[in-house]
Amino acid sequence: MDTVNVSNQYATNSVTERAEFGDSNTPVIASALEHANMKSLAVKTATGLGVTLVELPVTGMLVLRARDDKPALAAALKSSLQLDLPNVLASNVVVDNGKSYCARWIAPDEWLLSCPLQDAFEIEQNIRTAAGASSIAIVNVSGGFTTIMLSGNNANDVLKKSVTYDVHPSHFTVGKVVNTVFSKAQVTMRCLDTNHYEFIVRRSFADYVWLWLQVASAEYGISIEIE
Amino acid sequence: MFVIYCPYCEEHREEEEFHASGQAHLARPLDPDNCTDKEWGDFLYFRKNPRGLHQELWQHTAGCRKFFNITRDTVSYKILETYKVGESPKVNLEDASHG
Amino acid sequence: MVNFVKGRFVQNYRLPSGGRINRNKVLTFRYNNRYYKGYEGDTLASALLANGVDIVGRSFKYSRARGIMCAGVEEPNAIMQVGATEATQIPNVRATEQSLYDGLVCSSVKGFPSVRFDFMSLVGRVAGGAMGPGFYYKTFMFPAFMWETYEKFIRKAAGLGRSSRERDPDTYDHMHQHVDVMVVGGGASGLMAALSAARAGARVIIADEQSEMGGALLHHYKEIDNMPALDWVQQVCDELDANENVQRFTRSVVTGLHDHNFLTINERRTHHLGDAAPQGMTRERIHKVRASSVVLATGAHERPLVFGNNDLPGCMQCSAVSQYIRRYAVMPGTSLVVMTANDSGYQCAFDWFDVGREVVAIVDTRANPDGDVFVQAKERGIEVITGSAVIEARGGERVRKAVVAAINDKGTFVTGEPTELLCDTIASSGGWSPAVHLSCHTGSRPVWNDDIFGFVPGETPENNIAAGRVSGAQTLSDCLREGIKAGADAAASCATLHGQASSDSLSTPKVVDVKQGAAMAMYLVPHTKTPTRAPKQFVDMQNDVTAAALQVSTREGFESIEHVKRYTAMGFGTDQGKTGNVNGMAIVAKTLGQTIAQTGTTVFRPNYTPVTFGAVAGSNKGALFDPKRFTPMHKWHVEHGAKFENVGQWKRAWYFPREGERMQDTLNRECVATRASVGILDASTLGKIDIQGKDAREFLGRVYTNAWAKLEPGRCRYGLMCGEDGMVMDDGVTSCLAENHFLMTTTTGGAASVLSWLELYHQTEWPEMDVYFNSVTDHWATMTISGPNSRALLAKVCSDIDLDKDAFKFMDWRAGTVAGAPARVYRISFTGELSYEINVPAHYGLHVWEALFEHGREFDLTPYGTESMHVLRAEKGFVIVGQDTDGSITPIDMDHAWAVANNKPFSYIGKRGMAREDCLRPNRKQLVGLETVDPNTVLPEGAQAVRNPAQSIPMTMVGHVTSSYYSANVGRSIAMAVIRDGLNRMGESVFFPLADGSVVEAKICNTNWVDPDGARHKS
Repeated sequence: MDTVNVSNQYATNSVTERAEFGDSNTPVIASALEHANMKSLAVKTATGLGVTLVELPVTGMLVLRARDDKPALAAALKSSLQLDLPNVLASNVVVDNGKSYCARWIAPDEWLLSCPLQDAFEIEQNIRTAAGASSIAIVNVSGGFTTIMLSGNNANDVLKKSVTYDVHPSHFTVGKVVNTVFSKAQVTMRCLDTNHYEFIVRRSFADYVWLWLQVASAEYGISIEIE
Repeated sequence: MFVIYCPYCEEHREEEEFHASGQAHLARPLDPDNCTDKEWGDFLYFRKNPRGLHQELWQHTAGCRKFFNITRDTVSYKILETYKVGESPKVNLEDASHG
Repeated sequence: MVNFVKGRFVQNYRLPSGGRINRNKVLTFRYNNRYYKGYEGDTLASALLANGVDIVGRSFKYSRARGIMCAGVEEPNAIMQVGATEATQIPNVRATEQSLYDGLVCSSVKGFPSVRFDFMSLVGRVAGGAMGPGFYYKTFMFPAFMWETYEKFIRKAAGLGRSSRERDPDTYDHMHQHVDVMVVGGGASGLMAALSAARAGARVIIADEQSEMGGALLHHYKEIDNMPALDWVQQVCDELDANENVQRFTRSVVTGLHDHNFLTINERRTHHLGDAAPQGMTRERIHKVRASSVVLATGAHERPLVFGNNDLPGCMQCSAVSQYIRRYAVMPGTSLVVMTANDSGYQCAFDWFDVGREVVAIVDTRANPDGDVFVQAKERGIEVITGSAVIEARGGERVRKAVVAAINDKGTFVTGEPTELLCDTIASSGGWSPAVHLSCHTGSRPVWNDDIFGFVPGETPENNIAAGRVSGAQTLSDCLREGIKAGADAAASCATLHGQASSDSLSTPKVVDVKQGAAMAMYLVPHTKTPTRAPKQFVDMQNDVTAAALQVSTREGFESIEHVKRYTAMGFGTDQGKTGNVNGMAIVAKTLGQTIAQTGTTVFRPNYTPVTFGAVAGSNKGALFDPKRFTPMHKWHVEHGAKFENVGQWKRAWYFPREGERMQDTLNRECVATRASVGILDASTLGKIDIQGKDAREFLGRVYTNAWAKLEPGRCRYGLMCGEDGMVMDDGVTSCLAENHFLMTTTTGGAASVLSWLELYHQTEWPEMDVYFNSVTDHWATMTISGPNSRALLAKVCSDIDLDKDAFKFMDWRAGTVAGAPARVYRISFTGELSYEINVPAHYGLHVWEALFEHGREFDLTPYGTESMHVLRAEKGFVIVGQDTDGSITPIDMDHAWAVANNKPFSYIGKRGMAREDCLRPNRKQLVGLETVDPNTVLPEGAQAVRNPAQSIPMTMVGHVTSSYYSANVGRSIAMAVIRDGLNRMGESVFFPLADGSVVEAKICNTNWVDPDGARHKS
């Protein structure tokens, strides 16, 4: 449900995710690559090859915006999730009770927050309430993305085939988040560890990005896993 | 194939991440309704085309999506500086010598 | 040249030992349909020479027999068609660059019916005198219409390789690299530069075109640091390979050096392995390298001298002779005459002599050569004829004699009686041309250097560092020293180094240099006759450009070297003049009475050597040529037989044909069913922008023509967006979600550009405004149900929104739950029917779509695509921006004055533009409807209108058809068009002359064919 928040100024652009569905109208959640039937692909591929690819289940995504009232947004994020607003090209992660929250710097006035899908609505409400009358913006964009994980000993080689960014570990350091060109598309890319990367991809480009990764990884051997 | 320093992301990125948007510092007249057709036409269509230093507006479309300015030599393609919207350039277009 | 003895193929010209070849690996290859043998490590050229093949092609214009002249990329003659199958054909491969592999199949590219006997050579000999420069231009210019016929014959006679007629079975890819120091060239200088930079902690790539590093060291038996040169090379390579910050590429040509030190490297990964790449390997890879600093250690190409019949098979570069003997253990012939203007030319005579073969003489153009080599020649007992030159080669299709004569000390005329020396090979050296090509790619011109009689790199914008032979260094010590300094300087210039710096400093390796005598400037060797009367003296082998031709060109007035090049085609071939250009420039300079420096040089552009299209395309082909974007319901469309059309990068369902239907049948059915009951359209591709902030409302008022001040939460409004010139740019429905919160929609194609437009104005014009824009196009799945039964259908899947017509009015939106999913429902209509646009988060899209079909069975819910969507909106006269507008239409032209609010305080974007004189004048093109006189005739979109069909050509065009369809609902064809003064000419006829000569008459009318009062969408 859309609700209008405290000051009647903004509609939360998210809708509620009910925890249980009692009737036959239970809505099925489909990730961007649902039609690719990853489960059957995972069964067909060997493990531990040069490259491992995983599409994550649909993840909650919130765009956070603030300019002059950045301190208010930072304080609101801190109080609701114990998460700091990251600085230029950085990310911050908080894990709480098995749930993972990651804030990523996108632009001087923009951050991307990921969270469990069913928590997005409530988190948006909480941040708005905490920020009060400050000039911030929050947009629920959970349906608009998919997250693809790339790992394996040849993950960095695959990166070099895909992005124009300098991905040498001394430059694309652990925790860094970069928005860049991926072949002929665009991704938000994060380094989790050596040879371990996360791509946040717009839903409509998911097939293209996945197919590209498969072609680029072919010479190293591909393991497909599901989370 | 340029390499460009984004003043917001604070690092160099490849040209593919950006989109060129023409001449910089084009101020929209504050009172359009009282501009003559000629004045409005100049604002719409007339642009500098120097053989030498040029101030250009670029957008970091695949990155932070912010607009910024570049002072570039249109002959050698050397980029002398990049600066945020609202900041002043350090390079004087008339002063700087080039080949 | 016999190569078939007693039923066995033998390599008569292979030395019994030596060479960097693997004699344990015998390879079989086929050339011009005959089989030959070679060894692993051979190039195709060395294997051909080993088998005594001397004629490898016929020249472009005169069809003269040509042989292998060089051993590297600068080879102009040995151009081959390679490929064992149709699919693997590659044209114009240099035999000197192609590594031999088992099963290689090749043929010479010219020579009809065969290279040994070519009909065209008869023409060449007879007409050759008349086939001077500009021959094609002068002879085949008139009549102009015959040129294409002439061209076919000329092409066949000239003979270049051919492309494959089947799909390439191989794959290619690209890799992006970022380094501190890029070293181009893996010879002595390059290896030192790479090592020096690596020890300083730099990230380095070193690339060399050859199959192994070493460059010229591969055929010079010098010692470095008291060990054989190639052992020293191996040591350096081992250290580089052990450094994780160094990448070393062999068989890799750096083809271009672009702005800001961006380089392209073409890595040939499998050319040496077989006809097609092994399974799982890409055949070639292009590395796109961004370097902080570049070291050019590209070496130099030897120039042969220009003399009479210097194109006869058997005439070669001196260094090529050395390479074939030392590196491949191949004798290019049996008896050798060397002509040289410098010390380096002596080496090939020593190599020849030292394997026990006959050196007839060394002919030194210098009167008093005083280098160590002169002494070494005497020690071997080789005759040296000084102050003389080989002025002519004689032979039918192979050198048989060298004509030698004394020359003056400037080398400009013959002073003595010519004598003949019997030989079958003439090796010549006129000097060395530094390989400056890459330094020119960003616009700098090379500089003439009188010390080496060659061009060296000029100043480049990025201050690339030239080291070694390319910069004019003449001794091995200088090359090594320059390399070390270049690498250190390159590393030092990098702002931050990424690797670990080593404390081992790099000292210059120990080399014994020989005393060098001064070289002489020689380019064209004089003859007893003038160039126009003497036997042809070739400057450019590939394009048959002679010294005489260059002199003729300058006499005809082509004095700029750029003009000479284009008029004579000098330097135009696949070798790009690597051996000929400097000789050519020297001849032109002399004819003009100038120095070479004054004459200047042409510059070089990428690519340094040809690159296959496959490599350029990389993986961007087939399904990956361009991103294809899909909606959340795409799978359903595919499963239900939809045909798709491209809208930008999106795949949109175009129409849903059933068994036996032609497209028009489908469209008729879809359109009728929608107005009769209910249809559904996937509209997910439209741009959606979330706009929040206290100044959101004011901002909308500035970018749209309409008023937004009073739009309440829960309501929607159609918005029209113009450019500053007053022309319609985009449109869409924008809804008010809350006081400071709006959702804007755009056309599918305009989504990205409109977002940029909003950002541009906010960031550069009105940054003080408190407003944020975020794209939510991909977040929402959008499906629109239209038709009299749409409310009933919605009620089946949505129970928490009051759908009563007065509770949920036209242009309202409501939040609720549809098929269990959280949704926003907009009562907007693009069909003119009662219509609900259902938006759910995209991960529920397919589920909700399927639920609608489950419940929609009783209403015969009909899916329709973009084509029916176009027809249905046209029946209502609704405009599609980009279809009915083209950037030259104002809202007034479009009859949308109702969407323009002129009492807004801010001069919104478009207001001033629309008030320009030209926008207010009469007789502008205006959007109207058209009904053809014959109701079954459908006008072609784009058809041009005239008022009087009898007018003679050129006719006055008064507009064109923008949208045109057959409408089953209206029962006739309908069209929309922009016609001059159209809105004042209702009922008038306009005429459309078509390409087939027919003329269609149509009457101007209103565009609202269905439900003109709008009762249906408001019901």
